[in-house]
Amino acid sequence: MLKGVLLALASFGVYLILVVTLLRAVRPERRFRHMSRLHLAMDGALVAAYLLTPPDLWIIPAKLPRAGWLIDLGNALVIHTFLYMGWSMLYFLLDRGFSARILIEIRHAPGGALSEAEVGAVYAPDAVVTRRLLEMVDIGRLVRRGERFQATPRARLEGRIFAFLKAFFHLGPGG
Amino acid sequence: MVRGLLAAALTFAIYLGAQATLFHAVRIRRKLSLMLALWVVGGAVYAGFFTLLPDDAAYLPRPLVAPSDAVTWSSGLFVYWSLFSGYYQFFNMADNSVGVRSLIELTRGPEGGMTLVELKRVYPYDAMLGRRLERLVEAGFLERAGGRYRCAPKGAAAARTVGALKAFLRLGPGG
Repeated sequence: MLKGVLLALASFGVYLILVVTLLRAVRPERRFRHMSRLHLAMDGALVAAYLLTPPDLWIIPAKLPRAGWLIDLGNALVIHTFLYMGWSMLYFLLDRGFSARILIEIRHAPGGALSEAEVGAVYAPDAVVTRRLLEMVDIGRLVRRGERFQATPRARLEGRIFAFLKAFFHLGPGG
Repeated sequence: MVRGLLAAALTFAIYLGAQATLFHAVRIRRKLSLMLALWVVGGAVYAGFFTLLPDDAAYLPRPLVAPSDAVTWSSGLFVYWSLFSGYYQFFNMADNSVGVRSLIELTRGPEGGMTLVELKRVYPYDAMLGRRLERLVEAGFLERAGGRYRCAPKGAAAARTVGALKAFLRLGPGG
């Protein structure tokens, strides 16, 4: 059991080092796509490492009970995937967090304070919406025709699902 | 390990049912606090399931059997936490995301799509800034005095941390 967990942690550690190197040194345009592909590659590396290393990984005491190889490997992949999901959440918070950006702008303002209008001037809501729309064009959810943004059939379905969830949970219009 | 995974999956299914029923029946204000409280209660349910479920060896073939030890128990708990945090991320997206709100409005709009000006008529997104500022004040990240917002110590610490990570990963201003 411990072998899979240790290898998943090690693989994720290597992944983090590679992602930080990628973001700092290469600065790719489609960051998340690169990060997802790298994670898939690390899944492959994890499976290979599991198959090629001894059951005790040279460090696990022999007295500890061992798990079946299939469940151990499956559990390692589950843990590896959830660690990646956790990292993705942190990444999106850092990259797109609306509230985080507001806090940064206010903290850096002269005198350390801003009115709502001043926040809007340094961090315009129009730009936020435009960025989101262009990202949805990029991932194929929207089609841009001149100045118009049109939802694809898949985006319409997703829009309906989210609208249902908002209504079901009484979340209000939000956004 | 199947025992841990099963306990995590069953507990999360119960969590989902309870959360959906509660949020559908009552309009909740402090959503994250309640979801976290439910998750903590679910921890006890997880422990209960883990105790009640049979040992892997009792019914599974050897490659799927893992000892019911602390590693298996912790691994299952980690899976339960990860399922919750993934779901919270999705829920938060449905509740607050600018992209999701834009998508819903585009889905409800004409087949031919909408321009930014038309979108703004149904989604007056200038208001999103005010809403977030209010929420940051409520959560103790900002202080308001005379129509101006200033970072509270908690907000300044968050801004410093996020700002440092953004700079380290070279993500640009983002938001």
